[in-house]
Amino acid sequence: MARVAVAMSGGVDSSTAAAMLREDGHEVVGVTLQLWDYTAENLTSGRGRCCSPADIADARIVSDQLNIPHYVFDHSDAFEDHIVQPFVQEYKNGMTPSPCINCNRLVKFDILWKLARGLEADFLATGHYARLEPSPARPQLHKGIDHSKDQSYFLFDVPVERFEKVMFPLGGLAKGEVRATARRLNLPVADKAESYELCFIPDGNKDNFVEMRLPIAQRRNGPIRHLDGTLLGHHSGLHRFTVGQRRGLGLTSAEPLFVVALERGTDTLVVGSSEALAAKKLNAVRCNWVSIEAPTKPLRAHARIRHRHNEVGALITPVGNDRVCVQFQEAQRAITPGQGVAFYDGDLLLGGGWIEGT
Amino acid sequence: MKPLKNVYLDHNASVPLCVEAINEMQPWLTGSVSNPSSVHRSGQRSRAAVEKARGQVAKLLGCQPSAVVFTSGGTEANNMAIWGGLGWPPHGHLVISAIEHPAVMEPAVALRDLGVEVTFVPADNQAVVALESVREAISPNTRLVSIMAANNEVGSLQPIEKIAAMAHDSGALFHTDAVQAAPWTDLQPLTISSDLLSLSSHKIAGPMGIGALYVRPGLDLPPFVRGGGQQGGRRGGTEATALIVGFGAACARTRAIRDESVVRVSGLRDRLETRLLDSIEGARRNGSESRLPNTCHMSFAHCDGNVLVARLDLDGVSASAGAACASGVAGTSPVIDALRLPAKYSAGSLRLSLGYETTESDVDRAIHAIPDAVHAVRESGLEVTR
Repeated sequence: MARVAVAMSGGVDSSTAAAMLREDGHEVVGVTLQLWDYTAENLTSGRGRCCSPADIADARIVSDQLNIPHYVFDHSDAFEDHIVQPFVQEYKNGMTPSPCINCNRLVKFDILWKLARGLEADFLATGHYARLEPSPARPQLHKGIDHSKDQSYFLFDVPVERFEKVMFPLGGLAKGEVRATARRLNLPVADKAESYELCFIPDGNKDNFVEMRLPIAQRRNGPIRHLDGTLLGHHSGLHRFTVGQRRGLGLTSAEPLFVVALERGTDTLVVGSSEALAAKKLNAVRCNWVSIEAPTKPLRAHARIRHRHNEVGALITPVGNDRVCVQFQEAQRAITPGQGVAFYDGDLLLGGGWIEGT
Repeated sequence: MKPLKNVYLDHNASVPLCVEAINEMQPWLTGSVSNPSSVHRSGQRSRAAVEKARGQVAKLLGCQPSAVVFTSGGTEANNMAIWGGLGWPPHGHLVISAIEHPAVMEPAVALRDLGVEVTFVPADNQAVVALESVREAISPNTRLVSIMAANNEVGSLQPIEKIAAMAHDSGALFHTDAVQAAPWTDLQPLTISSDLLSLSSHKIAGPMGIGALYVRPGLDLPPFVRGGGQQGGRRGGTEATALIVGFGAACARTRAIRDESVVRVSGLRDRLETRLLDSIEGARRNGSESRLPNTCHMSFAHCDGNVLVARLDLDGVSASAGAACASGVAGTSPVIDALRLPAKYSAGSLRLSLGYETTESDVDRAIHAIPDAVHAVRESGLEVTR
C-alpha cells in the first residue's frame, strides 16, 4: 500500500477522505496548511476562517481517532503573497478574481504537493469532488459524480503532471454519502457545517475585507456612464463592482441598470440594460490544458464561465500562445474578466483559461 | 509497517515521566486526597507529602525548603520572578537577554508596554550573552537582571555567576531561568549566585503542570498568583499534591543519576553530531563549545526544518525544528536570529535533545535516518525562504 499525504482542513470532506484511505489500508499522513496568521489579529476575528485554530484542532482530533500522524505547516506568508494580495489588487483594478483557482495552482497543488514529496508520500490526496482516471498519455480529470458538489472547475489551472501523484477519494461519492460515511466511522466532524464563502472572508463581506487592505488614496473612483455615453453619477471604487451587478450603483432610472464593464484606464463604471450583458464570445489567456494536449485547431466543447454556471456548447479556437477565442452557441450573460473559463467534454475537464474580455 | 520503537530525541521539549514519579504519584491520583491546608488527618497527610517534596526540590537546588515556591510550571515561575522582581507595582529597570525563553521575554515585553524600562542584551553568534553587553546594560536604576542558565534551543551555557555578580554589584536582583539546565548541571552554584531561579518538573522527568521558583531567603517577593495565602502568601492556590510529589521524586532521581548520565549522554551526543556532520553535506552545528551535554542543534542548507521534523517522525525519530512552543508559527526564533546563519541555513534547523534513557542504538537509528530525510526534503522542490 502507498503512503498518502491527505490535506486536512478539519472539515467533513477531507476528514472522510483520510478515513476512507485508511480503511483501504494506505499509510495515511494528515497534513494541514495554516494559511492565516492568527497571531497578527485577535483570535475572535479569526474564528471560522479556513484553517482557524478550531479547525486545526478538529483535524488533530480526527487524525488521532484514525491513528494517523498529522502535521501542520505554516505557509501564511505564501498565502498572503500569492492569493490575498493579488485578490485585493485585481478588485482594485476592476477585475473579479477567482482566488480558489489560484490557491489550487499555487498552494494546494504546489506547496502542499511538494510537502507531500518531502514526506516521501507516493500520493497527495484532497477532499475535492473530482475524479482522476489514469491513462497512458496523461491523467484524465473528470467531474465529481455529485455534480452539485463538483469542484473540477477550480482545478483547471493545475499543471497536469501534478495529478499523476494525486488522489481524490470523494470523487465517486455524493455529499450525502460522504456524511453517511463520516457518521458510520464516528468522525466527530460528521455534522460540521459547510462554508460557502471564501476561506479568508468567512463573513462574506468582500467589500469590507478589500477596503481594510486598500487605502482610500489607492481606490479607483470615477464616473458612472451609460453605454450611450451619458454621465449618470460617480462611484467610490471599482473594487466594489463586478460585471452583471445591479445593487450598490445608487442610480435611479426607468429601466433596471447593470454593470456592463469596468474600464481601467478611465476608472469608468459602464452600465446598461440587462440585454447589454449578453455576449457570444470571450477571449481567454494563460490557458492550461489538463486532460488533453493543447489544441492546435478549433475544438468543439462545452465552456463554463464561472462556478455553478451550466456550461454551454462553444467553439474554442486557439489564437496564439496560451490564448483562445471562445464562441458560444448562444449568448452568455455577464462574462466577467478575471474569472476562469473551463472547457469540458461531457464530464471530462479538458482545460481552461482566464477571461480577459469579450 | 512501523519500524521498531520510537526514538525520542526531544527531551528539551519534555522528558517522559519517570517510573519513580509515577510510583510516588499513584496513591495521590487514585485515593481520597485532601486539601493540604485542611486541619483533619487526611489533610495532614497531603501536607506532609507536599512538604517532603519541597525538601526534595530544595536538595536538588541546594537551598532550604522554605525557599521553594511551587508554581504551575516554569512559565509561571518565570512570570513570578519577572513581575515580582520589579516590586509592586513594577518599577525600575529590567535587563534580560535577547535569547530568553518566551516565558521571560513576553512578561518583559508586557512590562515595557506598561512603561517599565527594559534592555534586551544581545547574544553572540554562538547564542552566548556577552559579559561586556551586560555590563553596559546595567545602570544604577537596574532593579532586576534575568539571564537563562542554558539556552533551550541550542543549549549554550551562559556565564551566570559573573553576570549575577555584576547585577549584585549594582544593587540589582538576579534571576535565572534554569529550566533547561536542571537535568544536566549542578544547580547549587546557580542557586547560590541567584536571588530567584526557575525550575520545571517535566524537563526532569516529573509530571507536567508543576514547577518551582527558588526565592532567596529574606527576599520579599510580591505574589504573582494571588489567592488563599498558600505557601506563605507567595503563591495562592491549593497545592497540587499529586504533581508536587511527582516533581519531588523526579528531583531525587535527578540528583541520584545526573552526574553519570552527563558523562554517558555527552559521549552519545558527540558521536551523533560528528557522524551527521560527516555524512551530510551543507550541515553545520550551532551553539557554543560550552553547552548542555544532551543538545545537538544543527542547520542544513536548503532544507525546511519543519518538513524535516515531520519526515523524521514518519521514520520513528522524534525531534524538533526549534522550541516546541513555537510550532505552527512561521518565522525564525530570536535564538536562530542570534546565530546569524547564512541565509541558506536559516530555515533548516533541527534540534536533537537526548535524555538519561537514550541508548546507543537510539543514536544509531538517528544517524541512519537523518541523512535520508534531509535528502528527501531537499529534493521536494519546496522553496526555502525565511
